[in-house]
Amino acid sequence: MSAAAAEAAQARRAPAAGSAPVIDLRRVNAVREAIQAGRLKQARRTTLGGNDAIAQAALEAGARFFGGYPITPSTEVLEYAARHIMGHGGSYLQMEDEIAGIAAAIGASLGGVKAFTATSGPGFSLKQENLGYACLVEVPLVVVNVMRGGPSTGGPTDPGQSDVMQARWGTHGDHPIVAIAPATVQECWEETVRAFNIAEKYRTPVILLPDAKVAQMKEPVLLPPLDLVPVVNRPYPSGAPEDYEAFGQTASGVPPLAPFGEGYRAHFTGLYHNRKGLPTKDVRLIDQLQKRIHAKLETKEARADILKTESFLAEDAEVLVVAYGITARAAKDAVLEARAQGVKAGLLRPITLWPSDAGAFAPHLARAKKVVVAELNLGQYRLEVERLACEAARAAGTPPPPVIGIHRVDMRLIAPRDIHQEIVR
Amino acid sequence: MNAPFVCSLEMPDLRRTQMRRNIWCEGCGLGNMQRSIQVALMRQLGRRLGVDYMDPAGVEAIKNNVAMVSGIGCTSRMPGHLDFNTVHTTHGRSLAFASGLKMARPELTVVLAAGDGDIFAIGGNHFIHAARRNLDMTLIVYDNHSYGMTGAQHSPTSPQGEVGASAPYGVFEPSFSLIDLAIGAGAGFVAQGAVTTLQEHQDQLDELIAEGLAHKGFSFINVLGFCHTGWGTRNKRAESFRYRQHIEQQIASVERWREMTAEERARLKPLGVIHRVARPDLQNTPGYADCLARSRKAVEAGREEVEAVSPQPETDLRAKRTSLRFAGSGGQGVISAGEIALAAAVRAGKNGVFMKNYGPEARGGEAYSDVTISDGEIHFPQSDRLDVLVALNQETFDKFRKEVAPDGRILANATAVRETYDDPRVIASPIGELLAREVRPPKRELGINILALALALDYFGLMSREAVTAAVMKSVGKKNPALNQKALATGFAEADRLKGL
Ligand code: SF4
Repeated sequence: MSAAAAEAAQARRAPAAGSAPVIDLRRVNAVREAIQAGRLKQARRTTLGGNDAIAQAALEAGARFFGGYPITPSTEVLEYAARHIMGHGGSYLQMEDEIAGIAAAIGASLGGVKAFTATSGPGFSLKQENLGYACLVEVPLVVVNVMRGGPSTGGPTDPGQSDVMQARWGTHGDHPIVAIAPATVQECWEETVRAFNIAEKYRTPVILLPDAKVAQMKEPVLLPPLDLVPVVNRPYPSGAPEDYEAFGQTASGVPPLAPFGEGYRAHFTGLYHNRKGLPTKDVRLIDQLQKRIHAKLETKEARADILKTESFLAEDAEVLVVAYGITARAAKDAVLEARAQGVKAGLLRPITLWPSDAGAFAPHLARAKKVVVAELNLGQYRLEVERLACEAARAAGTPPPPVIGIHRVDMRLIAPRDIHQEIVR
Repeated sequence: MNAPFVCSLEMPDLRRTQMRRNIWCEGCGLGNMQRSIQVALMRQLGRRLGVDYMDPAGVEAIKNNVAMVSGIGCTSRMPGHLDFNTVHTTHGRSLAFASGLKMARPELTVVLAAGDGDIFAIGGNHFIHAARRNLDMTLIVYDNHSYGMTGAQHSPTSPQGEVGASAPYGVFEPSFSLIDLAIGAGAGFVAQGAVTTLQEHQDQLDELIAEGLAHKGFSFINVLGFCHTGWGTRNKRAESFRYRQHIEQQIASVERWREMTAEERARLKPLGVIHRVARPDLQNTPGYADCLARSRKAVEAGREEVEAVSPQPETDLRAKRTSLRFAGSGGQGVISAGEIALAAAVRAGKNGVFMKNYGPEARGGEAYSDVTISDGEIHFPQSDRLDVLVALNQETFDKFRKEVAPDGRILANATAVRETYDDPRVIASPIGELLAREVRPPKRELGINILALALALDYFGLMSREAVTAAVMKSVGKKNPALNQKALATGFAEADRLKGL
């Protein structure tokens, strides 16, 4: 058995971790919170680049295969994997193209090894077909897409937030997707570990969506000791091999997934399939399959694991700013400035962009007199905020607040001043 | 039902019980190919795993060890039939999926079944690189020179002049030789079999696939097949039997074929093992083993130390931030100066953000990096107005002077910055001369970044000398301690001189 497979097998036999991990990744600033609460007494202190933090977190979350292709501004992830992953008992391949990069990662994941790939806008477009395959075949996988400008080659080295909708709807067909946008290097690490845990626990691809600025900056980080990194593994079948249903109905909605070679044989196909994975034309089974892959991410537990929004001075906000990634950092300064002037401004920062966190947004949207959405595109997430605002208003029986966009696509960042002006206007 | 021939009926059936009825047209040669794959796997894997395929436990071991991967098309439906670990992937990509699987799980026997359109048109790039990469996998292609499932469109191997659904007046594109392509791309084992009316060709196919499986490295077996219901109906070969006979007329054993004239060779296709070279498969090359060892060392060396941490008072959200820019020409090390400044800040218990700057301006002669430091939280890491600019040459002085705050300061390397426009914010220091005179670097400007860094951080009171020294000696100082010590000392001494003015 390969080292990576043996390690994965060992992890499955390890006793289940205690109910409360020291670090609860569902919380914003999870590591800092654990230190402040006195739960975490030791840590690794270092400075990292965003992309390095992502790659390091992937390996610390248990990733043992990387398949990729060089593309600015995500290449450091590939380079980090090239330096370190073999030393951890894993392997990597720089593939012949972007499509092959994600394909190889899916192949490795089906083999039973946690896997990831990394890319940026144009490469992300090329990966979309196989991303859809991973959704329907329910393959745990993390895709890192470092956002730059677009469409086309655009500005390869400059920041953008232009793949928000591509992350949501890039592949064809109705499909669930999880997309996470970190805003700091510390968060690059925390959210990558969380991305792997969601991918494994729910058998689904997760997209990590840092913008180029966050991926390229270097910041101090505090990381837990290796044995306290909260790692989750995919569900393993418990019954006899002949009863194994790789696409069966379970209480959680997530069927178990056995690595190849251990007797639990199954078929994996992008065709609509039955519980054993074999192609089917049974309309009832097809309907069940498609609805189940959505429903498994909508349970109470799944929502608690997946949705994550930071509320920054938003509790009584009349002017609500919505921003994510690097732009949210500008928004925080803008909100602080407005507060200093006595304006009741606050920020909602979706860390998980998809699925959107309607529950966290609703009370703030119902209270807000004005909503400002700032992002480095021409209004991709603003559409979602508008939808949520209308929904919240309908529920509250009030007219929806105006939703104003601050958008920039000239490769420069939105500055605190730009957002502050709009808050006080 | 698939093939009108009796083939090794005494052997166990490796098909899934639910999939005994295959999805293919009656008479299609894919049934023959599927049967040969089963026979070859039992023979070869039985031997390799040391199990008896007539024993149910042996069959179980074989089935568990095989991973079969395919793309899209008639042939690619084969894994659905077979009771292995099976993956039916996307169109053309089977080799890429299989490559990741084999890297992650080298102990599995990875077998691929593909059609010619799948693997040589949409998947052509992956084929070339799989052959080059030489992972230990076996690819069996059913070459029916057409797209069967979508209804008889022409493929990269369709004979010129024949008629297809998307070549209604005849195929006008040339086809290519899969054999030559495979050899050219580096495949270590290349063989060709055929589906005909004759048992000898079925037996030969069993054997060729078994040999491919035995070969360590990438092996490719091309199977001359047909699609009687699609391509056949359009080209007067609508019956399976007739098409099989048509193939029989086009083949010759590779030994005979090699003796033929060029003209005959062009008309006929060789059958048998055409190319075989032994070379270690990717995961067993000395180079791979070396990378493994070196990566282990890198992981060991990179382990971070654990230190005690305790709850801290909440950080100030609006603390003052200081933004610094190190700018100079490409070779002056201004990027690493910024990184070291960040490390020093963290050592000094401060918060910091470092940003290197890409873009055309950084690619050419000039480079710069930005560092923001603070005792509190740093949200937006970029400032409208720089607090400190360190300019090592005239170009960057001119370019970035306008970005410095009215009460900001500019440390200019007077050796290179001749014109300062009487800017009152400028502190001039002959950094270049000091380097040459005091540090005397072996290479022209080695250490200028460290000298300037020590000078700037100390003179502007941004960080303690201890923090700066430790950060330097932990990074570039590891490689060249003497030179960097000198650069630091020179920088600090110059700071003292300037402070005394
Ligand atoms: S369409 Fe052609 S290739 Fe496909 S199963 Fe039928 S005969 Fe075989």
